[in-house]
Amino acid sequence: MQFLRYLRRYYPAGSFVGCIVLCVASGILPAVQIRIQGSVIDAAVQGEGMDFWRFLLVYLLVLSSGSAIGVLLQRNAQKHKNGTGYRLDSRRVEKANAVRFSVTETERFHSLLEKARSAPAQDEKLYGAIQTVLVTGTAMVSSIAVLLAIDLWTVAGITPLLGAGLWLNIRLAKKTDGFWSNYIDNMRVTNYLSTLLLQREYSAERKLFAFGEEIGARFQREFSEAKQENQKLGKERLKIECQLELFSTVYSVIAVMLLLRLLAAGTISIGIFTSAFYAANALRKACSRLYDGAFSLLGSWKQMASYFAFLELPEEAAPTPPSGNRRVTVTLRDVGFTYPGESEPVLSHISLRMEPGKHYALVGENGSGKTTLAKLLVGLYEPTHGAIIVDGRDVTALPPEERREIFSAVFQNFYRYPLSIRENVTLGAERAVPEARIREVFRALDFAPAALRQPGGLDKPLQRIKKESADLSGGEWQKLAIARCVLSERSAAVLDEPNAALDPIAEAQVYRAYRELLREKTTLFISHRLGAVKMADEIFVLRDGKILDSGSHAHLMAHCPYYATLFETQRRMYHEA
Amino acid sequence: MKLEQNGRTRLQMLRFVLRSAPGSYAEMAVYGVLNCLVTLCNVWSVQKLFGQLAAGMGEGFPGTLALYGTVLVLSAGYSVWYIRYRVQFCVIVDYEASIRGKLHAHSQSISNEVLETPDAYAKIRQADGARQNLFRYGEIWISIGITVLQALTLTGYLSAFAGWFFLLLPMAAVPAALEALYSARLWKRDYAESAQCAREEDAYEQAMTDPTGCKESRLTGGAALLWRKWQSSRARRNALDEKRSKKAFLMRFALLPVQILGDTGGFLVSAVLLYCGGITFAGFTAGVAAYGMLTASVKALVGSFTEEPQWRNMIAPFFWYWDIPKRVGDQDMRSATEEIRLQHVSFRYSGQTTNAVSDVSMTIHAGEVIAIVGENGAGKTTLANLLLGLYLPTEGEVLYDGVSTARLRETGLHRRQSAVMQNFARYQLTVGDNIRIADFRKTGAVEQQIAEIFPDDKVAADTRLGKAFGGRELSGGQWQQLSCARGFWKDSDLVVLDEATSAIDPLREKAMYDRFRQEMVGKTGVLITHRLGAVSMADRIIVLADGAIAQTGTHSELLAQDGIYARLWASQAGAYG
Repeated sequence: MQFLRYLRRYYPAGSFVGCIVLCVASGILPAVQIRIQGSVIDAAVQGEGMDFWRFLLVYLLVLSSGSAIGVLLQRNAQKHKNGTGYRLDSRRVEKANAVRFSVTETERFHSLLEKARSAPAQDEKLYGAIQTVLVTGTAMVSSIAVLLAIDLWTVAGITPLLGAGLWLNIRLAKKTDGFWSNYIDNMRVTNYLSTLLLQREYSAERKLFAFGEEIGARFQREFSEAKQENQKLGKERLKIECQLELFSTVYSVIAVMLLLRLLAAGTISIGIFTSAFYAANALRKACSRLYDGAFSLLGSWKQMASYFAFLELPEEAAPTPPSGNRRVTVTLRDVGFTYPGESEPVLSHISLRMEPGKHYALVGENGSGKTTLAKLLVGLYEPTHGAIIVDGRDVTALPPEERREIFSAVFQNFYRYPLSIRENVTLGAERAVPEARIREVFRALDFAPAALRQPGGLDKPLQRIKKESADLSGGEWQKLAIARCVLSERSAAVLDEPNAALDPIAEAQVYRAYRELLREKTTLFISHRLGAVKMADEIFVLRDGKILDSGSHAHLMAHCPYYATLFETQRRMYHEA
Repeated sequence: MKLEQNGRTRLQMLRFVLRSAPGSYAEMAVYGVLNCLVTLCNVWSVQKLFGQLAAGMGEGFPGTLALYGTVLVLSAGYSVWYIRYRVQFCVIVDYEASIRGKLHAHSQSISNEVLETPDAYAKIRQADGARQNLFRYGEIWISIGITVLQALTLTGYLSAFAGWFFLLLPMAAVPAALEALYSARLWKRDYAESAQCAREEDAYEQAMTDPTGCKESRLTGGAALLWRKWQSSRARRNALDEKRSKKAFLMRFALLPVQILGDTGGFLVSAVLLYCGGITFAGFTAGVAAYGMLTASVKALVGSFTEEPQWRNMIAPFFWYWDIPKRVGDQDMRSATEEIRLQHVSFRYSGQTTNAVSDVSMTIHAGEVIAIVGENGAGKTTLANLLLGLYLPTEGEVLYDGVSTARLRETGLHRRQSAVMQNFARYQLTVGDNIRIADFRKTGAVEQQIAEIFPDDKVAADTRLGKAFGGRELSGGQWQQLSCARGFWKDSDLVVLDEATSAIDPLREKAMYDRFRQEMVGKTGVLITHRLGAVSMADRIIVLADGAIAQTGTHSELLAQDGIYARLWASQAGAYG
């Protein structure tokens, strides 16, 4: 059922009907050709000039149309690939872009996406298999027709043999199904060990610790295990293939015997004998190819299942444009969050209030849930418990994309978009941002990469995808991500450890710049370096997914022993030396 | 060092490949020649068989039939046993084991700085991928030789009984060659542009689907821009494909007469000769059969020739890696190093215009602990790599008791060194192996170290790590602690700690440094950090700025000077004041 729907959707009717006609024709022609060949031979042997030239001409015509149809079929397949392959690709990327954000973080999304990427190749195989089935099916019928016209008993004699051949083919296909993917699976550990011995990221430890000998020995051990496993499968395949070859010899010999009977009796001429012999062989080949075709059709269709599964993933709508620098109050009421499939909540009973234009900080140890809280605030996740309230309106029920118009964000890890500097900093902006404003922000952040000093530098693509592309250093990319956040027309900003790639002096400078650039906005700084955020109006202390305490630095030092310990431990690194 | 695609000629590549498995290739040639003989026997037996059939099947007929069957079995044996089993499951697999072993050995023998280019990671991966095709490249040339032999012997055999058959060779060769040439030209013309489009598509799709990229493009609404860009590249590539396919189709249609002549040539010549009495019926059948084999081998030949440049391109990356010169020393280490002296050491990364380390001279005595501090990009890690002898200086020398690291054999040089690297490895092995990999020969238990890292978790030495193999995933901090345990597992005289606590929680960081203090007793230590709170355990501090030594002294001496150190200290300690 789904198969038919797929055909209707992705196979344009006109060219598919054309394909069927061509395939049928290309299945019939070889049989006709074989039959005429016999007539040519007879005419030649008997020296009947008129007949000889006439048959030779017909033979040529049949063969020419066969060649022409071959060329047309090839073009038909190419056209199909360029049409359907293109549509499958577009649909995949369009879908990927619309899948709900929390789903894009799952492993399932990425493994389905990876498989969906091979959909055009699978479809090409599917199309080829459909062609094969059509061509060989017709070829079988027409070969049988040719043989039937010559002798019924020969057909009756060889048909049961075809059944035996089919059985061998099925066994072979079962044995070799998933053959290579199995091998690749067996080789995964082996290949990983090889990576340790080759890749640059291990080069320093490889030399210092001289683990090459032991890891090399493990590699050879794993390799020879995989090899033996593989050889076993190979031997089984060999066995069945030998049986198949033996079978085809027996089949040919029996066909010859059956036909010789007629030849000896003088029922058929030598030319017709030749035709019948070739037709019998063509029948066997068509039968085995028909099976291969059908098997590959089923196989490639089965592979398409991941593509359809990918298209089924839940979506979200495109974000609505921001409503400008509105000043908003954000309140979290008893918010909790549990990752799908986990039993323990990452965050529980979080209640806090952020007022317009004030600066907040969120501190805590690694794993305390800081980043998860950030993702909840900006609308990448939806809370599993409690409510997020913006200006008195409960936005928890709204789709996440509507909440995203409130916050912009800079995260610990930032993406290096293969776009120009201008596109990078204005990513998603509704209105064009004046260049003077961009440059002003760059100055404040002391962002002056070499690329900007050249004419048109603002519009030069980054990330080496084009020849003329420029590149930035790690620190410059981070400043670019910060500039993007500053320039966006959102009323609040979350900055989640945005200084990881900066050295202390640059870090201090950027903090000063933040204060200036983000003065108007409500901000939440997230850090585990307490010294960096102690100037915040209010600091939330997060521990094991709960807000332990909040208040100004002075308040927390006096009333929150945990905060004081954290701060003291860090301070002592400097002031007890 | 030259890292561009190096210019090995076709002959040099072929020579390398053939020499890497002379036995296998000799075997392949012998089997190929035998198969040529079998093919000739095949034609001969067909001729005999049909000759006797036409003559009314004399006494020798069963014998001839048996001969024909034997030849069929032999030629099936060649493809089923030799090509599909012996080559696929034994020859190539053994070759893979041996060439990978050689590659691993090679990677141990080249100096690390050679790999410090932005694209080294990709290039090593490409080299390792290219390795898979090496054997096939040799195979192509062997099969070209054998096919030529086969085409010539077949033509020779046929010409022996009718000179006209000489015409068959060009008839079979011309159409296939013309088509191959034209397609290659078409492809060559827009290969570069297509590949560029494909690269852009990948980059945009990555930006839309990568977890980090997706986060920001969704939040800002920039996803729409990326989608438009992807679409335009994909459409462009599709248009190129379609244009090429149309052209190839027209060309094939124009070539149709030639192709038909090629397809029918053997049959035409044989039939006309038969009609004119130039050959017997037996000669006719032999002619048709031989022509079929001839066209097949000529097509294979043309195929091999058109594929050869592609295969050559595919194996070229292997040689980039293979041709990196080995680092050879001519001196062994003395038992224990008294002092390490740097003399005017400068280092420049390949492709850079400025030195990462410039003109550094200093001496480290056995048992001393020094700290190297400075901003990001000041050259700290590069200096550590030079000190350890992992990099060789571009100018000046690093002397271990007077012997330059360039002259010392690396195995001896690193024997008593250990380090916790900034870019430490995360081995997807067991927890125990992650520690013991620093010295597999050392016996002893690792349970205590493991318990320290995972205090409230049930992690055993044989717990497998890394998602890729279904193991446990660790946090960044836990991985780093594991790398510290590794660094101290190995017995050493010199330890380098390069930002060894960057991912570790402040509370635990303090404890880590206390641990370092114990471990360093009696050892020479080099401590690298940009967080100055950690340098109190050093006897001497070296401040790097722009790759050169800016200041040297103890903490209090440096604070007293009004220099970089005092500024760095103020910007960090100030936050905790």
